[in-house]
Amino acid sequence: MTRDVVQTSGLTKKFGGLVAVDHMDLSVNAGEIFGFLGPNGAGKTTTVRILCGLMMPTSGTATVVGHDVVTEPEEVKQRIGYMPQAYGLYDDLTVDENLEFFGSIYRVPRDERRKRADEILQLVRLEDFRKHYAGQLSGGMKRRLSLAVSLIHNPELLILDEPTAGIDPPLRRIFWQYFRELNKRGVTFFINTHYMDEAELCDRLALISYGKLVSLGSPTELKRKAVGGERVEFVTADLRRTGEILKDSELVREIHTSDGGIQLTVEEAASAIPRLTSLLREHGVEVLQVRQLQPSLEDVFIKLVEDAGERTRL
Amino acid sequence: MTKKEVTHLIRNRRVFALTLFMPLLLMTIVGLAFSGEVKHITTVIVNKDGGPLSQKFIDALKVSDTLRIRYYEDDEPQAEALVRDGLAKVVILIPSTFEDDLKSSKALIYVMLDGSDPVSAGAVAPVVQGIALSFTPKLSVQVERLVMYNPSLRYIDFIAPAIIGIFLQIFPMILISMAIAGERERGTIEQLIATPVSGFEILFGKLIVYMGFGFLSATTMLIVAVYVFSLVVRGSVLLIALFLAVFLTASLSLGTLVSAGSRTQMQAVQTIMPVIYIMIFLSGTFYPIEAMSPLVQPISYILPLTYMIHALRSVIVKGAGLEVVAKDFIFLSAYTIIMLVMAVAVFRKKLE
Repeated sequence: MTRDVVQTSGLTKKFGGLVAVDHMDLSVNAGEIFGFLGPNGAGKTTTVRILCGLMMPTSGTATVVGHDVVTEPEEVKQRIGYMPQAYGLYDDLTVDENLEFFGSIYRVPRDERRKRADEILQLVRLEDFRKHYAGQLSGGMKRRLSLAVSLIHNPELLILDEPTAGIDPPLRRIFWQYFRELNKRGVTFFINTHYMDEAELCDRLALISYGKLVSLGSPTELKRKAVGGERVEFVTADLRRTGEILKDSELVREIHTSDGGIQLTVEEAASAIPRLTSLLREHGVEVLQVRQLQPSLEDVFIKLVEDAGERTRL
Repeated sequence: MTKKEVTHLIRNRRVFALTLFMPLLLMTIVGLAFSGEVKHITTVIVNKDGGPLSQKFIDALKVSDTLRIRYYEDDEPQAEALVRDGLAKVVILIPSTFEDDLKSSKALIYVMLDGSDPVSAGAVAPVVQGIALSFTPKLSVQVERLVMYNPSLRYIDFIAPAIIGIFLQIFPMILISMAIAGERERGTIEQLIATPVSGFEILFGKLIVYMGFGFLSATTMLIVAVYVFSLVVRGSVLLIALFLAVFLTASLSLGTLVSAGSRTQMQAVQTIMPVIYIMIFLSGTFYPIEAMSPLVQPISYILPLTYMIHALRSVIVKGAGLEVVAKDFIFLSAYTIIMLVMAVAVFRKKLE
């Protein structure tokens, strides 16, 4: 079940002297929501354009849904959906006409086209706007239509380039509901984003900086990697003694005192918390509160980029 | 504020080049094309007399800049055929009694003009009359409006076919280049090429639509010219349609090429403007090419519009058949094929 939907190896794209994508090795598993996280200008858009067969890589290879993007771009295009960063639908066509047009050039049979259009418009809640010109829709509705168009041919992989850039938080949440709904039906997602809260929602993340892959893993894994474990905070009646006891535990990697508590770095919080709690109890220290500290993904990102020896542009 | 605008203008190099270069180009073209009198009009001499006096008169004609004597024929029908085929514009006929008449009393020569080109025709008569007068006052010139195609020398008959040619050169080219540049400007091209539709399909979808528009425009113009301005279409409508199809394909391909170098519609239009001026003024629309400065004549002869206008005038006004306009057809077809191949090659289905 871990068939690679996207597989790149040494993928590189140069624009003159500028290296936009630098030896990128990626693999995206079937059925996951894969986040491609990086600041503006990190090479995210260039990467997805190569994956969609819109640009030729300078070197390296990319296989998407089992086809090489250089030698068989049309096979790739037929089986993936792409939502570009810039809205690119026909303003002088209606919502229905846009879907009909794109359905026809993806060679979706007429009956199925109708059926899918109904289904998708219901999903993105545009049923009541079918006869409206795309140009008359609000910014948020245009985005929803854009998503709808990318779904018309029932793609197995959706590549979304900053799908929620510049739209308000409530609509972003709605978009993520759509994504999950579609993901449940088996669609794999490749999502470009620079929103950290959005990145948290991905199954796996690739951190990108200056066209290079900095780190790859689930949000939890990345945090663990950045911090060198997981952070836990103990609040006890006797902080000084707590510190002394925990300092000697082999579970604790790092320790320092904060306002009203002791912060630790451990390998894995879930197993360490009960063991350390009972250790403290054995020594007669009353544990008032224990919680796992979540480093923000933003901190993680900056930390990992710095670790990778890069100057960050965030 | 002014400084800011000047900065904008200079930064936008295309517009800057246009404001500097266009007036220069325009005035140079017009100057080279239209300066001075009409010159070098291709002439056929039919000398039925053949005596020394007639030979002397021909030598006098040769001195003139206005005429360029290229052909000698024995009979009027052959001479007229040369005019019909567009190889010559004027026939000067010296009757067999020329020398005798001149010795006895008064002599007459005949000038026959190509009525489909009133500009040349208008210039020739006074020049020949002047030469005759200075040759001997006994010689008078009869300008025979024995012109077969356009006896009334109406300007509309001269200009209407040219306007159709110009229109078909310009509008389809602008429309298609704006359509393609517009897709790029609005970002729809990215969504479009992300689909499995081929670049060929995208391009041909547009070509066919604008081809239809071109035919519609040409038909409308012909109908107006015929019914409102009583233009007489003497040649085959089918032949006209054939030329329209070939020429439209070339215009549309050129438009596609222009759009390939333009990111926005504005840029596309700015690129087309200078091309249009050159075409309009150098294609022989308003002024015979033979009369233009030799500096610009080579340009005239590589412009497809030149051949299109010649063909349309020949077919519409003179009723010429394919054999007469074969040269135009071959040139236009070759040009069209080259343009189309280049357009298809340039219209790649990639970003960048």
